[in-house]
Amino acid sequence: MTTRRRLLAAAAGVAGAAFAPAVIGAARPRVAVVGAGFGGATCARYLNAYDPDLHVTLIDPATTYVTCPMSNRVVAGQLPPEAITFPLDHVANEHVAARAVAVDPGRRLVITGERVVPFDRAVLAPGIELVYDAIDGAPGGFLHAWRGDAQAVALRDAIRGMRPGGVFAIAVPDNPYRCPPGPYERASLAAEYFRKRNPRAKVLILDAKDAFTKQPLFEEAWRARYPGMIEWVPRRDSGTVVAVRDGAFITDFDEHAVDVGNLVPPQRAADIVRDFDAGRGWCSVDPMTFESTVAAGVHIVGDAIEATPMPKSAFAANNQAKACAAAVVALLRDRPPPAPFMMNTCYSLAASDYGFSVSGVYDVAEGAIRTRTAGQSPLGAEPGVREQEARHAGDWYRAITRDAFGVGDPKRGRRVVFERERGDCAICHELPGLDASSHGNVGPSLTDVGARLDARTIRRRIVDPHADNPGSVMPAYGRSSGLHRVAEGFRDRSVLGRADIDDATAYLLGLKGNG
Amino acid sequence: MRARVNLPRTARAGEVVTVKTLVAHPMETGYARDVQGTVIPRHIITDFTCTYAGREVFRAAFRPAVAANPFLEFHLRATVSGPVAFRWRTDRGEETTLERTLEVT
Repeated sequence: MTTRRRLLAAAAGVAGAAFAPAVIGAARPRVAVVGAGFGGATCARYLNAYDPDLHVTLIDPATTYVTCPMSNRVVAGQLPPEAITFPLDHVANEHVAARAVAVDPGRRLVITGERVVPFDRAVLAPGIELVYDAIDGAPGGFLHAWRGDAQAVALRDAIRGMRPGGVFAIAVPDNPYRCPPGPYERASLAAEYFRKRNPRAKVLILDAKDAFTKQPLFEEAWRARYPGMIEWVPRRDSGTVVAVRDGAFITDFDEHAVDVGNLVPPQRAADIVRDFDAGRGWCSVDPMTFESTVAAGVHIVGDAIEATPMPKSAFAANNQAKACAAAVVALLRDRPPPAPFMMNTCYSLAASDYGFSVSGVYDVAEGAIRTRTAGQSPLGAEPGVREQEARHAGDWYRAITRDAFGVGDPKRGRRVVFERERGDCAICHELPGLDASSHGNVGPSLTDVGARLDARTIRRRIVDPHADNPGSVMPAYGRSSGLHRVAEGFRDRSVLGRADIDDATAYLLGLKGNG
Repeated sequence: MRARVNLPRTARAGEVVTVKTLVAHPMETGYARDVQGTVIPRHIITDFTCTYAGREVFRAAFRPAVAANPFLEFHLRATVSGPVAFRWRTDRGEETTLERTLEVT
């Protein structure tokens, strides 16, 4: 008996180690999420939140994500790159750190270089591809700094090293492209840097458009803060860059000598969704569900889709991802998807203490996304308003990165863990600072849990301890279904909310057993 | 109307040269309305011509569907040294002209 039990346990252990996701996931609907930006990360987190029974696999080669929002502050030397870099440990049940190379909607597989990931539904949030074909000689060594990678730091260093009185030029593509106000914010924050460190420098914007978002607000700020420093050349004055060579941006009618050139090229949806864009460059989706119009079971959100009138912004991707997650959960349970109701808010900084914004609210009518209401910061605002909006921009950033990437606040998490009306973890577990008479010992000590377990496992054991250990007597703090003997006040809601779980995870992750 | 042209200063006899032109004009269709709901009257460039050494070598008739700030690219064969003259004319009779010299070697 003992021998047999040990053998069974050993067999289960082997299977569990090698095939854990497949075995555990077999009875649970599987959702594969490709891409860990604002669209993908948000969607993965909300899929788990809306339905903890789903097995959500995130597929992205990176283990951290560098955001495009606030990256212009890195370019301008106002923030270190770490300030815009987030771990992906809090995002899904499982993270396959590999690049997805193909999606097979027929066989329902995402294929990476290392393995295939089967899915019942897939959510693709792959972002953009940069297209240099239309610019002769491009990229020709010019940085784009447009995809949340090391280029932001390289561009920062180039700006810092520019000769006194030099020209920093930004080539801007025609619409549509990621982050419509981004080039103008970048020009502004570079000018803020130059005004202090290189006051005779010039910022030249060569634009393939004749107008741009928030234009009167930017131009008002440029007059007030950087008179004579920023020159904007629209398409009608030959702003479209058609060729580059060493030290020069070339248009159909002019050649501009540049000391530091930032070439933001035209864009299209990322290569992984090339089969789903119907040759249009951007993918078309059913706006009720964000399911591709050409690939059943495959949903696409974020910058890769055609979602006019929503812009290609982090907040738009974040809101589309939540609507998509709700639809995927409903479709997997054969329920009708809820009607999306989405928002976008986009702050721009004309200086570190000078912000303004646009916002819009969107729903779906007659198969298309529709603007319900929209607005932007007024021109000629009273003193203090722009400064206040710059502070709001910082708060907005903290809120949206928290929502998408789930990195909690350990101080708040400590209260969640200790408070009797919330986690009350000490009823069963040892915690730091408690003597033996004031904590239980039904469960293992948590004083070193951050040294034993990774963030994903800690989170899973808070949300649903039975996923790892079906015999556990610990209550599920993040589930509201499939439970026994639920107290009246907790019916249809989990003990802890998502933010509480994020915070508790952050706190527990910091317990390394050293006091 | 601010206008720009780009063509080489010199060319060999018989060479085909590329000519690019760009003109700043709103090309109001007559169908759009302003924020008060008032129809914005039609105001478009209707006519573009290019003459080379006194002879018309390119003409374009523009309609309301042409986008703002029209850009044109066309080719001509260099034969003799002489002026290349460009003229844009609107439906209100406004005119912008530019002239370059092409030297044939």
